[in-house]
Amino acid sequence: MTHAGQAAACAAGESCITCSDQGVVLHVLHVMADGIGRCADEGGRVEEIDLTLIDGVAEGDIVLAHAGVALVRIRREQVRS
Amino acid sequence: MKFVDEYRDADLGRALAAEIVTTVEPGRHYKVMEVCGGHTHTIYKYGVDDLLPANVELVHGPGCPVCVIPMGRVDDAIAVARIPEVIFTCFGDMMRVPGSAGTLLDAKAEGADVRMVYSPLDALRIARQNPGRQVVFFAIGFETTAPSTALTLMRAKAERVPNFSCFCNHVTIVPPLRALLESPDLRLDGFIGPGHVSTVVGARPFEFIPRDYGKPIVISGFEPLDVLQSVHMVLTQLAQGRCEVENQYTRVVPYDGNPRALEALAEVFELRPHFEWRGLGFISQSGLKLSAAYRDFDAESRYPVPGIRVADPKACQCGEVLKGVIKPWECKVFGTACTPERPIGTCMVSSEGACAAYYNYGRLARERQVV
Repeated sequence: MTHAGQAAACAAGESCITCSDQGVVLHVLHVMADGIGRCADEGGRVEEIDLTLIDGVAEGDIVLAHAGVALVRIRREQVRS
Repeated sequence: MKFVDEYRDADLGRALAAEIVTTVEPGRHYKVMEVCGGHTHTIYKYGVDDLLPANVELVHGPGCPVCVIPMGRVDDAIAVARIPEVIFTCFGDMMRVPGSAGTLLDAKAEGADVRMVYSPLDALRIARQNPGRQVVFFAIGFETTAPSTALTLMRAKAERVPNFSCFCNHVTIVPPLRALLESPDLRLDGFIGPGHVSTVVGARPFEFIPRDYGKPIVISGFEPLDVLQSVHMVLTQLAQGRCEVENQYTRVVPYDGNPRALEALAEVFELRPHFEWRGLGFISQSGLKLSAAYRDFDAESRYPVPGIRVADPKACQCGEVLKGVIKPWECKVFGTACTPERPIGTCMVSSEGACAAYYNYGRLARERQVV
């Protein structure tokens, strides 16, 4: 796993996606047998995420992760106006 | 950007702001607390407060996990980090939080092996890669990061990793909210509830706020339109004489949370009788420690820690900022002696801290320029 992109984001003064307890939305690319998934954020950065807290996560799902663990699958609904 | 741009639409924002103007009573002053540091960050990054009428005040709450760590716990962490066989791992923000005699970053400069990680799973990986060293993870955060620590400890136990332990500082969100509601300093009209904590605990734990205190709470997402809509929902409840738990963040937050995460928390952690919060003092049953089944992984059992309570620096008013009693710019050292580069208080350290959010997004002015 590489976190070079994340480190660069921190250095630039932007919110780091996990190191200050912030959630990040990730696309699931591949689910491995031990419940770990390779997931990518919108910027294309890939990291390994523990998916075991959500039932039936599959490739193509969108999840919200905190500190390396996916907490919920996100539904693609629009903002209510 | 897909799934992001929809929540940053300027026209929608202006329409919501116009609706808010028609919702509030002109002569009434409204104080709405955003509990979570992530909301504070959004408000000042996107200027959400500038879209609100002058009589709607957003008050920053205690929901930044770095900001509420007391100095004594930082001193304890540094004491563990200085033990020669220890590799001490923590989230990046924690390395810059001042203890009574410096930071973890200072300890690293003086020879301690302190390493930044992005998740406790990374710390466990370091432990597997360094069987001859002891790896300690500095666990902080609310119910959002606690599941990550729990799953890591469950893996460590299943894999029988003997050289991994956890210095546990996890806290829970409901007790400080109750403490704030009991505080005579602060009269709040309603709350913007923590979105990501609620993915784990659900909305149910917040039902005491309308039931016992008669205040509305709206669980909110973190994009600017999420926050603006949540403010509108709180104000609408007040205008209609209602007080309920409402969920603006339905695309993410199930009302019952994540039962599997709650099971993991119940297995790995138990409540401490008391835990100290910066600015709020000791709050009963607000902190987590490792349960008896995981005591072997408890760094506080493995290593001696000073455990001394340390008073905050007199110049620092993080406590008042965390309680929403003063705004960051009202602190005597804000932007002068205390800056993100050389923070005195925790609120200036974390990007989620109210002081850092004000400072980083240019909110140095004492008067809000309302558009």
